[in-house]
Amino acid sequence: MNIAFPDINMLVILPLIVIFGSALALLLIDLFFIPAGNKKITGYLALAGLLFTGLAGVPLWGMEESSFSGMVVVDTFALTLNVIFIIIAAITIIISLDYLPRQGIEQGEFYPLILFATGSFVLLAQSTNLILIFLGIELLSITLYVLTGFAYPRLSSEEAAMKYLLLGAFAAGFFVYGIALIYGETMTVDLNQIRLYLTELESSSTAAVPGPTLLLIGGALVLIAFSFKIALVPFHMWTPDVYEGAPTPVTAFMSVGTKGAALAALIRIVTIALPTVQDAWVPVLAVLAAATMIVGNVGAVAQTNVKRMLAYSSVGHAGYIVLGVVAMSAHGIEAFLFYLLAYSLTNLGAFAVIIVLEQRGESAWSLDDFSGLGQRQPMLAVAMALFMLSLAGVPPTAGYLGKFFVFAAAWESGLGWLVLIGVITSAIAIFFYLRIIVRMFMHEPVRDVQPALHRSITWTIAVAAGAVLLFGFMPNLFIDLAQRSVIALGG
Amino acid sequence: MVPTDYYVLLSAALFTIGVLGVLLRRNAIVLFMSVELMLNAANLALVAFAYRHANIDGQVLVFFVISVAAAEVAVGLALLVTIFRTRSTTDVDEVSTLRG
Repeated sequence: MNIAFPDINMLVILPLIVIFGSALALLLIDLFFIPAGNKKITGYLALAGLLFTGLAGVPLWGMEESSFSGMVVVDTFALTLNVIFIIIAAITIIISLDYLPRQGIEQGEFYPLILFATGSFVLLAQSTNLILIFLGIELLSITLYVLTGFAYPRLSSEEAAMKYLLLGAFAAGFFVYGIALIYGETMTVDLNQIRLYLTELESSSTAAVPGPTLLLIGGALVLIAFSFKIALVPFHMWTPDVYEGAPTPVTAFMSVGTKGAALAALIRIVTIALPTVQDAWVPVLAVLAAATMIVGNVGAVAQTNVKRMLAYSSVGHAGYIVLGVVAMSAHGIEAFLFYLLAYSLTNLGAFAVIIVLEQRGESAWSLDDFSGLGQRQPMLAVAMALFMLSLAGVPPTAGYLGKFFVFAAAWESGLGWLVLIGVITSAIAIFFYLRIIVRMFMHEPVRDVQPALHRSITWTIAVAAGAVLLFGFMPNLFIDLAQRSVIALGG
Repeated sequence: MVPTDYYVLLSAALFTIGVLGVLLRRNAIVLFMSVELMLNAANLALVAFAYRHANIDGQVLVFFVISVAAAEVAVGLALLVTIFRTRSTTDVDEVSTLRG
């Protein structure tokens, strides 16, 4: 009997092997060798794992290859995203090092879980097959459910995890059923073959042959599932609660990483599989983006809890990032990548400042706790002000350029109304971001909050702030990379 | 011989029941059961389509869905136990300290 094995190229999945391998190894090392109470070592080892994952991407640079029967692909788009994801994970781990023991929730499993989640991001960026995308989304979700509930037995954390899990599992149901319908129509779960099926259908299309109805219904279900993961309105209800209840580093991690990874997979699906049925999904996604920008930013205005305000603001930012996807152009993808990088650095920095102010047993999330921060901790206040300006999209920050690029891309694609909504909501957003700055510099301190400034987190905030400014002044450092990614996508 | 269309219609009905269950019931355990129903409805559709097209991909996905569902329920029940210890309830409406 002859069994023909398909050609496989292990090099294509090298980053995945390294990150999952180090996550598994770390679980065992943590269990047997790291003494309780000294789990920081696990954190440092996790950073080493991330470093190796980054190094594993170096020999792949410039490669464009798909392997495992076209299930996994490596190209500059995936590798660029990998770099962003590794930066996100590294910052998350560094800001957790002191936070976890301070909150009394230090468990060694935290760091391997972050690695698993990052591995699922990488998987999502590289996969071109619906089965793999499903696996990536689920791996990401299940690790995040655990991480959200990590502050057990704090009830808010448990409750957040429960809500996240119920809605996440609900979304997974939609996702699988959507894949089932797409599969029923096209007989394949491979994105390239779905496109082949659609182009064939188009060329043979007559009045007698019905359109791809099942595929469109399935696509709508898949879009619902993605909207849950990216937190697009009206599927965002869980976001404020989950972001508030989760431990702060986890909130920071999922507010940037999950969105980026899920959108990367969505971009693969729409650019590879569905370009021929653009008329069906672009308007839907555009309306979702508009609703997201409006609800996210208007919702943030009413918040006095800064962590919750950042949760709403991250909903709003999801809308802006989606603008880059609905533009369906090379500039759109570039804008998406740049916005993701700028937003990740800014948001992680802002959450790092919140972590510094957060003490054991009490949370300094109220606006009052920021009052007078400019007198007590001028450098910290300046960094926070910079992050707020970048989130609001004020020049000369990276956030400003990110917004500019996504708006320009959407404008070129003829989505003027969407750009208008984006600009108006950005103006609304300036109000609540500026409110924090005003509190920090023009109010007297209301109560004494002792910032827990350790060296690692101080450096993280400084580096993030520096990067936000650097990319604000010199976007070309990254744009070049983004442009090559677009060529790789065939955009 | 039952036509595959019937299986697909049955799966659509099961999926709808699952969605309604999640939206209408308030007990967390029943919510999990409803989500399971949704996933298994999708499995039924996948197997039916795989049989009709004589293609193996759908059946492969079914195995992944089953294992993912098991992992999800394991995490979910563990969370439920911790919540039950702190609050002595599995009603999702009673566990709501986060608001705004």
